[in-house]
Amino acid sequence: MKEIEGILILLTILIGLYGTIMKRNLILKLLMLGIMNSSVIGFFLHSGIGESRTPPILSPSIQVFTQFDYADPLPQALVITAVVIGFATLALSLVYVMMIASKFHTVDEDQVEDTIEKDRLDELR
Amino acid sequence: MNSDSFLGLFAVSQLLFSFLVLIFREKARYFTLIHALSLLVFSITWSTGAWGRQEMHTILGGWEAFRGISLYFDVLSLRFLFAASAVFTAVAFFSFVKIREWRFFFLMDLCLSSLVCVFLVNDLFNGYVTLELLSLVSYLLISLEGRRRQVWASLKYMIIGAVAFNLYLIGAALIYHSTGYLNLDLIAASSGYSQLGLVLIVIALLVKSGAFLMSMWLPSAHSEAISPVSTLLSGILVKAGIFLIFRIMGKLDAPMIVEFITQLGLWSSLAGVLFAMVQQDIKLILAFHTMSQMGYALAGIRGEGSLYAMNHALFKAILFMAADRLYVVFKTRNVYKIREKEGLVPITTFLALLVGYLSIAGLPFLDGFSPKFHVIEEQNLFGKIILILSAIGTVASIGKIIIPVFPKVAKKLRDSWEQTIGFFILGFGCLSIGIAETIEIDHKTEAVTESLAIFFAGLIVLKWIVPKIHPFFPKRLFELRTALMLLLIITTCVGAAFLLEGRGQL
Repeated sequence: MKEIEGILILLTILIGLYGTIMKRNLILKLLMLGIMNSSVIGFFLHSGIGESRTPPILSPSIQVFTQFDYADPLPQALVITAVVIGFATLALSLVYVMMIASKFHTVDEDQVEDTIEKDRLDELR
Repeated sequence: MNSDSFLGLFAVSQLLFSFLVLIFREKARYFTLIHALSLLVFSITWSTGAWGRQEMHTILGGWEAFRGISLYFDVLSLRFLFAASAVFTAVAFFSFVKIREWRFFFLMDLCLSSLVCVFLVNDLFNGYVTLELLSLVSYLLISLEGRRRQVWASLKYMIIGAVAFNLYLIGAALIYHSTGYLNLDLIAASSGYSQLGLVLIVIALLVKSGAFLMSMWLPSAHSEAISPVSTLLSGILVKAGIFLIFRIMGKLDAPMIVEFITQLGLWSSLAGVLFAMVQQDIKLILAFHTMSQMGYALAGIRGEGSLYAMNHALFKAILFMAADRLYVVFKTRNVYKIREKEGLVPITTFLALLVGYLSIAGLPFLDGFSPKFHVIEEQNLFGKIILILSAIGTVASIGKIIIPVFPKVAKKLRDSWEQTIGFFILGFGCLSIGIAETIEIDHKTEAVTESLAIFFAGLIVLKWIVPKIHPFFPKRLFELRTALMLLLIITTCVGAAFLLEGRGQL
């Protein structure tokens, strides 16, 4: 079961990476980057679960036998930072995509690169 | 106050100072200058031994090592801190009058603070957080003017950086899973850690460090940004990645990964210089040189690479600042057009350009000389040949900038006071460090002969080969999709190689 989860998370990371590379539309690129971010965070959490059976929350109603029945809380605390950084980066990227859409009148990556190259060569002439 | 509490206060005070700049917006430039100067004074006095000169290590809040934020300060940190403070002081002077926007100085100050935090890092997660903070600030700096090429360069850097940091997180997760720790000392002391995890972390840091094939965002980001920002990016921000690589590989013993980094460094140094030789834009020439020189620093990972990185910060910053002055005088960034343009170059700019050129060429009594010689000596025969070829190419391609400027120097013309001070700080640093290193170096005759031979060979290449080259920029190679695909291909190949070497063990 855990192996299947691990493989599915890895698959999601690869799907996110594939989309980030191959999508020409900048908005979709960022969407896939967001998927990759989330799946990497899932991977971090998955690596902390081990053989545990419950989240690391003390509660009288949950019966546990040893400390290893709890999931490891350290990765869960660390990924909060990763989530925040990921969201900040994505928010800034979206602002940049908005600026690119208004200045280039397109969100197609290839058209943007071609326009930039023309600009650069014109300036050097 | 003992050294433990000092480090914690030091790190936190840097960030608090940056927010002071936010409050006193109109005086932002003064705060940034004071901040950079104080760090420069601190690093110089620490290196003279006035503070005891021992390594400092602390865990914030008094927590145990395995779950606390660990800070560590040693000679490696000091070298990079000195380089950072020198470059920031010079850039702060240089932009003191020219740049009116307080946002630039605020971002610059935040950049300096996050750099200081990077240089104190001793665990994997802190490395991630501080490097991400630094990266976010640098994305904002690159696109500061809001011009469309800058925004695209910044977005390209951001997407490649985001993918790289995801790889970093996967690597950190693998290492955590195999050892139960993220603290570098504890990982080093544990019985075995995930080699694949370390490889992913190193690849992510190489993306930030300006290595060829990994950092294809570098030419456009460094050339499109405004000049003070280009100076900071090339001068010191790529060093953050290099620092973390040196810190991690210094603590963890992984000879195969060190070998991979050395090889990548060798090919980076050659590739960067070959691309630089075919450029016509001054800033692109200098940006490709950053790629090449970071290759040198990476190739020197077993020895003097960090010293080379520190010296590079000084002469690269002076070259970028001088290039900005050339643009102001000639109104063009095309080196082939400078001859036709009218304009007189101030003597201070020319001297700065000369000091930068002779330093990057590795001549004696200047600061590129000794570390370059040591980095070349540390390699095997093949590595030596590659590095010598790229050194010759360095002389030839930077010569493209300085040769057209020679006849247009006006001896009576000087730059304004703040620009002269900026040049002086870096130039004095280049000369004084160069003289000290030249006096201390072993095998003086061999080193001097080698550097002079490389210099004259470079001049011959500049005279006979460079004029025959038709300039071009391989746009497809540095596009976003290509950069990401190259990163994916290299990660897959190197990851597979390490998996096979570890016989399938993650």
